[in-house]
Amino acid sequence: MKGLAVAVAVVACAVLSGRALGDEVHPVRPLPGYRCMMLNLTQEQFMSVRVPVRAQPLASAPEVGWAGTNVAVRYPLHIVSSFTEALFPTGATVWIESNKLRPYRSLSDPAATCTPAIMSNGKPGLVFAH
Amino acid sequence: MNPREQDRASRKDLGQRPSRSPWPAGLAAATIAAGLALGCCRGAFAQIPATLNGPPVQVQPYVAEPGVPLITINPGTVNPFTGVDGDGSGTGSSGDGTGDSGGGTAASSTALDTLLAQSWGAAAIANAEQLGINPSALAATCVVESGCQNVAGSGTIAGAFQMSAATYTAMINQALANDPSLASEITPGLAGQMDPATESIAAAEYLMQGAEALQNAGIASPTVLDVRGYYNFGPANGEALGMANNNETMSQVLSGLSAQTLAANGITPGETVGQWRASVSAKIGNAAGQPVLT
Repeated sequence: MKGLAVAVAVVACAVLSGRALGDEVHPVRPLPGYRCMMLNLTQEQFMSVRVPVRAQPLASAPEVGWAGTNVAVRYPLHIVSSFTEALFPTGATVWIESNKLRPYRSLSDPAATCTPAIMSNGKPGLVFAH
Repeated sequence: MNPREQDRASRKDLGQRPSRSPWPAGLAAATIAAGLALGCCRGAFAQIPATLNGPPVQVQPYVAEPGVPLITINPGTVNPFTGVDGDGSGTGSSGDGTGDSGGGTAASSTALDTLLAQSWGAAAIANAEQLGINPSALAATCVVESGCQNVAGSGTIAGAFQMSAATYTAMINQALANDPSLASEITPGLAGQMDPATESIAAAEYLMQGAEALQNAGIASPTVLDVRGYYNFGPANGEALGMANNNETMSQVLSGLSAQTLAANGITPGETVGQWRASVSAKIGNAAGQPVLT
């Protein structure tokens, strides 16, 4: 009887810890055809400027949202009318002004790398490493 | 044997005779112990938890003590959320971009108590509610930024919500454009930055924009912790932090900021996003998991 109780407790702990570990999404596979870039802003601009991402490669196209610091862009680069095709975290294809992008290179950690990936929730994400 | 001798004999018998109780001694002891325990527990259950609302009752001296200054306690504003205990627990900031939802609700928090203790706290809360912001989110912002004290900062940053002059101006103008009726309540011009009630409008507007930006990026109900990165590091960095995983470092995610800038914002070398979130949560308290938007 005591052994059964111990076994139940162990299984419960294993299930709970598994859930806890599994709460955060994780990369499941690379995202081919995309590469990391980052916004081409100064440090001051990073603190205040919003860079819109649009539904089409037109300045008048509706805004889908604002770009984050790091962006997964289609690679080889797909540029139309000075807009670069990119992938929004929701999975939507968006367009960013090409002059607002530069290659990913962390100012405080130059050895850091960034790789677009498909996450365990099926959405695109970015994986950082060294 | 007379009755008195019989009685004495019977008492002697009782003293020498082994117990003939129908219950075993162990069971009797257990019963007594259980009874005592129940008695103690009843005492514990009888203590009804009370929520402190305002300062504790103060001793009112009727004879002034020479040399002791008169101490006046500002009772602040009565917490309108008492009885609604938002624990702030939730799953926000898991960085999965799947639409985290705050486990808590727009409710009481330790941060809100701090805000309510300020003379301008009630006005700030009314402003937050008018703009559709959870008052605890606004309270958490001033707690982290200044301890809800109207202080100067570095450069153009100032006020209880420590907004830069440019951000303050942009946000107060946006708030007024959205709701012109606020114009009658604010201190006009840049002077409003140092009027906490006025600055609270700009801060609430900024929180609103941050929450909406994260919603657009796929986080369905951004929490106070989710939006904290936006308020602290700006729109692009805020979104990057909101989507980041706990094991990634702040240096990797906030790639556009130098080591000096990170250090100036309290980020240590090698600090992970998870560590940053934990330190912010410790400052914010139980408001961290509450949703920003109401």
